[in-house]
Amino acid sequence: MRFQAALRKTHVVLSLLFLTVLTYLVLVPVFNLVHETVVWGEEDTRLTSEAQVGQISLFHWWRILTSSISSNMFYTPLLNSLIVGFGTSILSLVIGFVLAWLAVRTDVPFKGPLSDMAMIPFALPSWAFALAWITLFKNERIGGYMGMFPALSGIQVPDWIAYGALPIIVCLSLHYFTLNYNLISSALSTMDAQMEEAAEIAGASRAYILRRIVFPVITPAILSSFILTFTHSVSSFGGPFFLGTPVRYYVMSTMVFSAFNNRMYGDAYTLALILMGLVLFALYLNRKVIGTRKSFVTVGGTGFRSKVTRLKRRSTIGAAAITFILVITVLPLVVLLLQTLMRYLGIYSIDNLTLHFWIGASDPALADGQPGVVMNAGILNAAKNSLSLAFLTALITSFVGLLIGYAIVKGRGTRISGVLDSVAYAPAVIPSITFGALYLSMFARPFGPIPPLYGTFTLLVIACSVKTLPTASRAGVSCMMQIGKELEEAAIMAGASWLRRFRAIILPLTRKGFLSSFTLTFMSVMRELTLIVMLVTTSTNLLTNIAVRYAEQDYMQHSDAVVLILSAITLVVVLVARRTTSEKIAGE
Amino acid sequence: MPEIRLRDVKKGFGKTIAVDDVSLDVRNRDFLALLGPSGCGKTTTLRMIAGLEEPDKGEIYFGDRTVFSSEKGVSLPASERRIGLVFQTYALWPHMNCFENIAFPMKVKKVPEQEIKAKVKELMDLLHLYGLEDRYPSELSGGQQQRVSLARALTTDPEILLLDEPLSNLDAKLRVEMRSEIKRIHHLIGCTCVYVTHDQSEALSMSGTIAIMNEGRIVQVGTPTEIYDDPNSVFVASFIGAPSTNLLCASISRQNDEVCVDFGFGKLAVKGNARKILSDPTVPSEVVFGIRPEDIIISEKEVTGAFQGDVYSFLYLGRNQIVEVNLPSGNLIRAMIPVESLKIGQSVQIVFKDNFHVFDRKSGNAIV
Repeated sequence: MRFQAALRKTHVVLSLLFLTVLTYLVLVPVFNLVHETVVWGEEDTRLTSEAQVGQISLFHWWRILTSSISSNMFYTPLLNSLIVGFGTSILSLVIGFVLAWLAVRTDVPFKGPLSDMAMIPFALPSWAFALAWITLFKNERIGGYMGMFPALSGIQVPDWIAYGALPIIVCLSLHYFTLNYNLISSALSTMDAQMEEAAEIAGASRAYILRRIVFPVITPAILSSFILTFTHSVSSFGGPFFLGTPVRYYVMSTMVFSAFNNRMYGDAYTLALILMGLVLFALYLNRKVIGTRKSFVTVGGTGFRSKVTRLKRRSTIGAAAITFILVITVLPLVVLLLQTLMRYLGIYSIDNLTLHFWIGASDPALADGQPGVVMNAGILNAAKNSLSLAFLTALITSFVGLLIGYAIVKGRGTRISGVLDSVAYAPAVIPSITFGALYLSMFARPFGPIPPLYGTFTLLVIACSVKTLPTASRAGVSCMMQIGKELEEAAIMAGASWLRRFRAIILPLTRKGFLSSFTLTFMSVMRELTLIVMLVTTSTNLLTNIAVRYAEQDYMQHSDAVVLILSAITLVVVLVARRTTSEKIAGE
Repeated sequence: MPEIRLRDVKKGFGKTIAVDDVSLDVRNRDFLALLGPSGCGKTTTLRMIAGLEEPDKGEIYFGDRTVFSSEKGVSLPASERRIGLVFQTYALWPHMNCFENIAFPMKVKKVPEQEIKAKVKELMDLLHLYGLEDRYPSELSGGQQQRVSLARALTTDPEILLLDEPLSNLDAKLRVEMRSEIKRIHHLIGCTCVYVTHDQSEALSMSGTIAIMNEGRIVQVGTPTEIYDDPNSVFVASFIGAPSTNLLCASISRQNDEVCVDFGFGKLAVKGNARKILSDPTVPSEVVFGIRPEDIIISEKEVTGAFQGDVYSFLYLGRNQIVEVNLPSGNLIRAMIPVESLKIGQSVQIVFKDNFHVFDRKSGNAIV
């Protein structure tokens, strides 16, 4: 009776439906991946005659953790990942905090443009910076052409600037500081000025207030953005791939990819699983630390007003901030654009300039006959794929996210709602490279009623939809919370069916949230590399992965051009979205 | 128009019991106020009558219609119960204008366009909403939003009108105006009304019957006068009346023929009917003595049988004032008296009139 009564409620039916689907698309793949790491794989027969395909064995774990190659394959990449993760988190926190504080809490000039432009790097792929960096600072170490800076200035660039940890950290930070900026600026802007005013009246100096009042109050936001950046950067792929791999500086994600490329699937899965453990541990720590400080989060109250600090040299500081953002957004794109115009790499003179790589037909002398972008069927096809993938995923994810938000909010307080909430968030705690590995291991073979999906466009849509679902369902939850249950109940009283309520009440009222969720998903799928790098095949090439393939073959002009096209698309989408929804695109 | 009957209705959320075996009859065309402190289960009761919440067990009848029965497995959807509901937050759809908001229930029921127009106009006139058809909720004042919400609840000619704290979001002046407005509508339409509120003056002034709830149970049902004059428990006595009733711990002393209430700081001889009841030795002698502030006299001169105290504070209310008197025992007594000039700290005499209540201290139930 009670169960049947529950089934009459639409949100219970929705919850059960999504739980089933997500169990199949998230939890089962995780168990499958764990299983893959503890059985002999096909490829292991090449390494040892002991291998019996499909039998239980801890071979991969011993190989990764204790063998002669574990140092190269695991411990060094792990250390490098941690260095990159921590370095990026700290640097992006500093940049993000300073800019957020300037934009929210000071009288710095050009506040509007400042906060608008601070979002641009978020629209660019994190590895666009890396590609620009290597173009700019490439030295003799890995052979080939010279970077623009050493070639034009004649100054040798030391290795530690050109490759490895430092440039990776800098490049990732230039992308990820936007996350910090978003979280911290919203924490700062909801912080009640009365708290600072009370301290001021008590005679505290500005520095003292900042240290003793502002910092502690926004500590949860700071910690959250730190951990969020850490979990992203510790597993990020593009930056380390462009700036590390050429000099054999490996991090966990690039090592997973390298193992995958060498068809060492068991090793790749094991490394991916360890990386996931690392991220989970970081999130667990975050929870423990924030848990005790939660009381601070409920900042605000009635009629808060931001306190504005008067800067002493406001125009200088404002100009510096704007210049900084201009340099980090425009310079990389200009550098990449310049390189696409060079007939031969490393020759920096006017007569080396050409439009061949944009509009030229195939010329065997250049890039082994790869035609220019507009003539290049491969690139055009990848662009088509990327756009369809981003569009489809954004549509599915934002719609499903809204429904999940509905089911969670309507069922608030019940167990099923809590479970759905956690399961829908699960993809967020799985690093992208691991997520790719999950789907690789799961869908390379037929599974239940589902045929092997590896190499299909469908698999890309599923993977991207599930991976972007946490953000969308969080957005769905907050949309639904804003509507409040009474608006729907009023329609129930009017006798409207669920579909009618959804169409006439819920959908129109969540249009804004839906749009921003759509844009955000579109953008992040458009520039997604880590997730799809192991899932694409030649028939399903995307812009992001052909940029990588071109770079691997040293067709830098093509690679740069593809990144520019990609950046242009995401930038336009973000700008249009900001105009139409006039809402801030929230962080991931 | 039906009466509403609730039989042993029970509802819990997780481990907490929100409504505990509530049985209640609302007479046909009555205006019943469900009154109680926040969290007492009054809104949950209303939502169960509306059909937005399903009881764990029990029966709900509208006249001879069973709208819910856990035993028979009946649970009529809200839309089939022929009721109107006014929400606390009004729940107007922000993306629809006034007209669309009011018309929506009829659109859902596929009422012809002409009829919808006529009905909306009729309701808007009834509620004095002339010319606001094209306004969106955000462009209306709180009072107007309230009226639109009321109009929307009335579109389908409900037999039962449910109101969930409809006035709590309005400012004080509007609240009083809307009280008479709602009463007028109830009178015009003649439907059965259930009105949830935590504001006792709203309940006292508007309703024909008041049901007082506490901790998921109904503790007293009666007309406003019955509730005010004869609270059946300490809880009701303390909840009803503004300023609130003085409650003092006391014991009954029975010597010879005399029955006294002994406060510790003094004694009050009991006369008349109260004496008859309290002289019975089986009546518990540990009691709570309750007296309303308006039943206390304050005098600056010596009076026999009065208690001595000094003025602790006074609040001017216009015609009356509330005076708090501090007794040497530390008890604070509130009195509502006509305005006369007093000073803080001034020594005064207080006299209890004969109009008081005595409750059993253990059970809290009324004795006198």
